[in-house]
Amino acid sequence: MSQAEKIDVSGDGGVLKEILREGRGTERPIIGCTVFLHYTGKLLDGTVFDTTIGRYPFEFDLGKDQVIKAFDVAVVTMKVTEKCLLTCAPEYAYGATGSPPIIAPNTTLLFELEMLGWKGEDISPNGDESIERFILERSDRKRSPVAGALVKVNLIGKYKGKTFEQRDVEFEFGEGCDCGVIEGVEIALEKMSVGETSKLKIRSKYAFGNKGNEDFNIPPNSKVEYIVKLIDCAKGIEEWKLTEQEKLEHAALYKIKGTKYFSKQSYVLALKMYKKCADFISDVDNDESKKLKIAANSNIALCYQKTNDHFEGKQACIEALKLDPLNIKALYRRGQCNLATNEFTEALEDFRKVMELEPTNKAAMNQIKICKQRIKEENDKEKQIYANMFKKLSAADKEPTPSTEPDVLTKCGEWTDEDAKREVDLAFERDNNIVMI
Amino acid sequence: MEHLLEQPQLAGDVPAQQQYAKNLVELVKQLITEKEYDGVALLFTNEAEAPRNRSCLETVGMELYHEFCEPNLTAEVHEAQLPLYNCAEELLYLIASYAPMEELLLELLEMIEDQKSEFVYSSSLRALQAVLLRMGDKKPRALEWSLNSIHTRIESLPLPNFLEEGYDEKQEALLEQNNQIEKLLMHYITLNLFYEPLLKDILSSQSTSGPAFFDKSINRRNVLCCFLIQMLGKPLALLDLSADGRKTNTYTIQCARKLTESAVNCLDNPLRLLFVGEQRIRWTRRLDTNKGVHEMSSKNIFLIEDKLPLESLSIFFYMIFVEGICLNSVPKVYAPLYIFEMSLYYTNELLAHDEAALHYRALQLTKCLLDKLNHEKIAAISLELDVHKNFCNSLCNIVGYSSHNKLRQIGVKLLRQYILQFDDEGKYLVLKNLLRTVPHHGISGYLAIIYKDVVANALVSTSTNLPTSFSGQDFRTIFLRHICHLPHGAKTDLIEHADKVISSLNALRFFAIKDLQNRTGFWDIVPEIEQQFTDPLRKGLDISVAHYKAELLRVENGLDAETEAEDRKNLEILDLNIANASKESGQMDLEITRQRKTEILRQNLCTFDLMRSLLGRTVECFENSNRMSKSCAA
Repeated sequence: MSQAEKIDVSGDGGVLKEILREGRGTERPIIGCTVFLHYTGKLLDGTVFDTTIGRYPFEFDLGKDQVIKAFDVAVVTMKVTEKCLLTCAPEYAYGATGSPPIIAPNTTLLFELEMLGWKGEDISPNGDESIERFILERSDRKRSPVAGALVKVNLIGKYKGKTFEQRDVEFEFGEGCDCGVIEGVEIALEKMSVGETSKLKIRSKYAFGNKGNEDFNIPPNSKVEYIVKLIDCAKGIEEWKLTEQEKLEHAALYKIKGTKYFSKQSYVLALKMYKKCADFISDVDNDESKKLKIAANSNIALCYQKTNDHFEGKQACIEALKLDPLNIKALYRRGQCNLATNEFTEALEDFRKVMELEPTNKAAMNQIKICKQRIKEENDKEKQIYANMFKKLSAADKEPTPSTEPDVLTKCGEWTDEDAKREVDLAFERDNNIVMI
Repeated sequence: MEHLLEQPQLAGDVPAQQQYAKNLVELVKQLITEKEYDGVALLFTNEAEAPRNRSCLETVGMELYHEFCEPNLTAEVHEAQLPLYNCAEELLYLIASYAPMEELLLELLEMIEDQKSEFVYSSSLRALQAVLLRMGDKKPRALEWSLNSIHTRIESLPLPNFLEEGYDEKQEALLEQNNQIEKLLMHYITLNLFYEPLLKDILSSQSTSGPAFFDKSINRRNVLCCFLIQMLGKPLALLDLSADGRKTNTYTIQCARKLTESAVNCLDNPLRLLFVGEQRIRWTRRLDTNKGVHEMSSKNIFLIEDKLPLESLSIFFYMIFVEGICLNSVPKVYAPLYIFEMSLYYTNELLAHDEAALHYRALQLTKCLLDKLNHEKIAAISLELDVHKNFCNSLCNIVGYSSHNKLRQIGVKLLRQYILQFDDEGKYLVLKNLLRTVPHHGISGYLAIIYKDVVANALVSTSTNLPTSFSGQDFRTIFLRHICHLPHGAKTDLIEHADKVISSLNALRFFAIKDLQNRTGFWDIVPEIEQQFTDPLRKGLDISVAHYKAELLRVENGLDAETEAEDRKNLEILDLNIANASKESGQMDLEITRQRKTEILRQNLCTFDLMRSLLGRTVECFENSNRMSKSCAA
């Protein structure tokens, strides 16, 4: 074959490609794709030093410096089923080092390639292709966003080919949803390098879910596409380098953030911030950190209450109470969580302790009444069950059953269910306003 | 004695079949009672009867298992009545080959986990193998449970404490002589016999042809592969895994080699899993139960920590690269730098463990891959990856604080090799950041010398301008902030900082002599060096020498009687003298203390002398140069 039929794919004559069999279609893989192909590497004298023939095809991520440079520059030019022969100068193969003992330093090599296919990079947490990435513009930088770092991105959101949003946005990584950045984009950003632009195909569960987005006119359960450029990202806070005082300062900042999100009713983000606050000072042991930890855990409990996860809420209260067994807010909230999870006796104990510590706490007083009412109801229910059981047993014995008349006096002066529920809601709201830290 | 079963009249006669099976159970019972164990075997091997009897196992197999196998497959029976044990073992194998699989599988798993005897372990694995082979590709989960049970058993085997604490080379050579280790290895060898036919079956049932990506889902091949790699982790990883031509510990390497080779057979490309470390450490998975994302939910089995622990995977790569097992299967087209950077995640994983054996493997893995980089430089931009920072910190911890001399020695060489592998800017950044963060003064001194060496090299090899990292502002920053730096000025504890101070003085003297043309910009910062380093150092040395001399005098003249009395009191409190409570022995202890005190004080005074002499010579160089420049100006 003449020199003219060889294509210079590296632009400097370092990698020459000779097509042995034309590929199908017009599409070619782009950077970031996972490609799979067969290859045979030969020395100029024809000695084969490596081949995948008879084995599984070779897979690699294109354009990420995983393989010798010749592969990265040549494979992007190949179509599916294409077969080609590459002549690679040493600087695109094994360079001055070679690959002893087979490949001597500064050796020109031949590679026969057969492209079998490619797919976008699957970066979904479950590996179920719910987020696919295609790199449009790669970057030589290696820095990627880490939690807490300020990131600056350009977003172009598309649904069925139509752009529904286009904007530059700056946010602290991990808090994107506060600026309307969908989770799929945040997950992808974590894997992007500064300067990189990628196209993302995101399924609904990491986009707008089963609610869709009215403002953008996106129906429920829709797959969307984003083109994201990571313009810049700061370095994250390197926790291990911080002094105790710095850790305390950062923890306090996270607490403020948590309160900000709480007041915006972004409970999930608020929870995240309070947790970070507690994490930051987990190994700091002084009075100030203790106060912060108690406050953070108490507020974590509140967030869980707001998201109806009373079990986790209770755990957070327990954490706070480990540090301060007489903390009124934590006791009160644990009582509420116990009440919500039908642990009435435990709830009663908690509210009683609150009353002991603060005899004028009306909210706790009300809660005690509610607890008692619930315990009573529970006992009545049990009585009823046992009564029914005995009834059945006695019916089996064919004996007449004594009539169970309701004891009117037991209900006297107590609240109905509706009263109780109203009181709980009122007490909860009142309490949250009072005790919000 | 002949034992014949009454044949049912019709093949399709179900009650007759059942009766026949019942009779079979009775017959086996009778034969075992009469100790006619060969007769039992004949029932299932005799050409005339075997097919029919074997088919009966489908209905009465489990009954036979509970009646004869379960009670007889014990260590006690093995010891007291070996023929009976063998008979039960054979019967179990037959049941495993013909009885309902699921039910027996659960029984076998229980047996593997509960029975402590290695004979029972071996018998149950043989039967388990038969069951799993029968199951084929259909039930990867069954294989997963089985392998979990085996892993649980092996993990719970008792091991000698010294494996965790670390051992020296002589102890290492004799590891296999230890009974507990011997038993562990027997388990591994039996395991090898167990999985080999399975592996063969799995590999033969799949084809490599056809354009398809490598399947990473939970299938039999991947389940077995994860298990094989997992078995390379602890406890095997704590033994001697070196595959050199030595005469001891041959079983260990044999087991490790088999496991590695088999895992490579499953993967085809051993580096297929190289990405896992980065994937797990750099990008933590966002778990979210609402979205069905939890620890075990990944469709890629290799990303599940439980299935493929990083520690074991690190040992797998150690076996490939350092011991060279299956190295030929590694595709040659991988970029060495990519392999090196990915391997750092595994090195860090091993260094994060407590066991010295794992630290040793970590250092060897990194050294081996650094050697492969040869002339290729690591770009400074790579330092944006946290993995480098974490590696530096872990390595410095080993170099500074490991209780194993060998590790500290290898570590210190590796630190130098690693730093020198970077491009100029990278070298500077690593050194600067390490000097800033490493608290160990010995290492700081060593780093200062490395910086001096790389600049010295640049001075020789570059005739034009020096790289910016070795001159001007960068040179000034590293020298003033980190090398010539006394944290508390003249009051700095010079004994604690001795190594660092001596190294710094050496570096200063070197530049004062070798960089007369001021190519580094050294002479521009000399006034600042004098002000913040040499002057306070001189003052500090004067104070320290005076203090130590006075102290020496006090000790030598026995003027520290008060302290002595206090020491004696402490000794009494500690009840150290109970055994030989003579006055003499107590005094002798204190005499030794005094002698030792004198020794230490003298050693320290020697160190001050050395510093003084170095400081004197350095300052002399500064002054000479000043004189020269003045005379030139005149």
